[in-house]
Amino acid sequence: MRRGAAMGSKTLVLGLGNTILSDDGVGLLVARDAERLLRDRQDVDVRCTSLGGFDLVDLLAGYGRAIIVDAVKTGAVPPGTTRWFSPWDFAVSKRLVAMHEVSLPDALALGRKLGADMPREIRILGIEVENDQTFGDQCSPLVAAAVPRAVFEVIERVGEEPSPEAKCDDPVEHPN
Amino acid sequence: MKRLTVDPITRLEGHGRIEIFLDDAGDVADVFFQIPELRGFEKFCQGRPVWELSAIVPKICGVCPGAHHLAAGKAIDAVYKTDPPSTAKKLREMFYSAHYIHSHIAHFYALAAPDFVVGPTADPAERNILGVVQKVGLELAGAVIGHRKIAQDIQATIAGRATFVNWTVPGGVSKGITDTERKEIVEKAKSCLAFAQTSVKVFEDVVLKNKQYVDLILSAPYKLTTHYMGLVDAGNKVNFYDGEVRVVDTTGKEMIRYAPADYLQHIGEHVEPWSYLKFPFLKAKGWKGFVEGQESGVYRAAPLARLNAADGMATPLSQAEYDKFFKTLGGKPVHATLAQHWARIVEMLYAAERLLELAQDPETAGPDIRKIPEAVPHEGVGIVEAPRGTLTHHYTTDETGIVTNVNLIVGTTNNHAPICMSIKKAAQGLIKRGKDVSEGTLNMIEMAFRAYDPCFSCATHSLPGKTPLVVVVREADGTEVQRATR
Repeated sequence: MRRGAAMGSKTLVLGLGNTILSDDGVGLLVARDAERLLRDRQDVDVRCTSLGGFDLVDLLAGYGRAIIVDAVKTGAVPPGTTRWFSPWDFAVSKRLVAMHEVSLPDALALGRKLGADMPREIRILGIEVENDQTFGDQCSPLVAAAVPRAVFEVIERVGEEPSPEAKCDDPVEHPN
Repeated sequence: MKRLTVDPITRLEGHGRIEIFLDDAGDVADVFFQIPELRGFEKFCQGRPVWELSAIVPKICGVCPGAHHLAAGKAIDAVYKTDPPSTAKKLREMFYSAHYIHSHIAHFYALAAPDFVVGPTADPAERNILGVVQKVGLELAGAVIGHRKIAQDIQATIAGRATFVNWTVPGGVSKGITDTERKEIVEKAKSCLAFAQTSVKVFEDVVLKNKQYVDLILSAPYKLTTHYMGLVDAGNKVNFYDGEVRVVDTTGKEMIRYAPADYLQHIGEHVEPWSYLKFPFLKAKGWKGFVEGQESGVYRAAPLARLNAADGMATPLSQAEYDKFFKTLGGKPVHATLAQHWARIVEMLYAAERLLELAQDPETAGPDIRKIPEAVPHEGVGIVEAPRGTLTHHYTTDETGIVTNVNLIVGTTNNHAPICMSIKKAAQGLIKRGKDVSEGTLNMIEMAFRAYDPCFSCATHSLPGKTPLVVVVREADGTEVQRATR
């Protein structure tokens, strides 16, 4: 993690996924490529993790804004499609990632209840995947092809000014 | 015939699907439990150096990475016919004790407690970890989160990182701990032990002092009479890391005891056309179908099974709780599926005591952490008790150590047939003829499933999108007559 700016004003780009489960690892690939392009930004940290639930609270705590990149499998759009979500889009599912414990919204709410300084704004870039059930260290072609576009979207989002009114407990509509 | 679909099962790994078929009278005719299985692990491993597997297998499962790592480490030791030195074994067990504390805290407070602390038929919007916090207070909630972190920190101190570790090597471990680190772990272990004792008290206050809950645990819909499997030490005490596999029958009498290398002589795997996952069974009994009783080949693993399969616990506080467990629930073996939650608390207590014992042993900070293998590699089996059941890794290599074959029986797979049977039995006992199936009833059916702390679609991190619990009631011709979503 790079330092150089006050934690509360920093942005975290967090890639989630599993590196040996084919398309499931796409969020990690996006974060790793984004990290190279954001290396000079003192106000941005880029991290990758395969964790979920309570552990995400630890990773997110202290940041003013978080941009999470993860695989999404809805079957509603073609593989490789990128879409922006808010944590509350996953509230009904009871889990953000394949977590053993609590959903991201519950984890965030719990973190706040316990006094953790959670990001004021969280955006999730979901990349629709095709194959997350077969062990493999490569993404399928359509998903792999989406990585540069997803990196661009992350960089673009990082460049935006965080909304001063944004609060973590306010549901956010899809921007697109 | 009507059809109820529960898809996906909430609060658990992977996309589970329960299909409940009602007959025309409204009684449960049959129940099917289906989950998608991850594919291609054997192929993924073939052709790789066997020592890479201990780093790869933790990623099979985002829930039990430590269990897979240690089972792999033991299997690779066996492939190289090497026996790690005492310090390395103790370090592995110390790491694993912390892993158990971390895992069991999550299950009890995040998955089990909502049903008992908030209530099995409470509003689902409140039946979650936040509802639990509301009831038990912020101080305990902070201790829950705090001790999960402490348990993670201990694992990181010992193995370099808390999850997805790359630490065991053939014949030992890649790093040890300093005496300063050992002393720090002693203090953290003391805190974990105090927290485990608090958890025992919470269970006592919330569940055991509530006759309704004790009656629920012991009620017929949640009872399943099976054989039980667990790893035991030489004195037949529960052991998570090492020992032999012991199976007791439905009366609690020892039926089988085997060393890891002999597992294929005792465990068979049945296949059903409607399920991706196999159904392990005891070869001594044979596969007799999804039936309970002494002549069935169905056995159970995980906390309740471990307590049933052993003669006791190896630490004093957990032994006292073990005695109370069987005294309260009517003697050994206990067949009450929901007693898994109490058994898990007993194990949390044991893990904390064992962690402290090991941390207080100066040998764990010793330098002798590896025995360099000298034999030509060939074949090995490693077994540990994963939090979710007996975990078997079996590897075969060529003479240079390149993997030619891999076979795994993971913790939850042992319980596949019992889970199907438990869901069916709960559904048959809880769904009443002619009455609409309420959300609370469906949750109580799920409780039979959730008690096993099952983990199927290991390490899949894809966001599932909006995949709520969906209940669909269909007439015999497939016409949808009722749908409930949460």
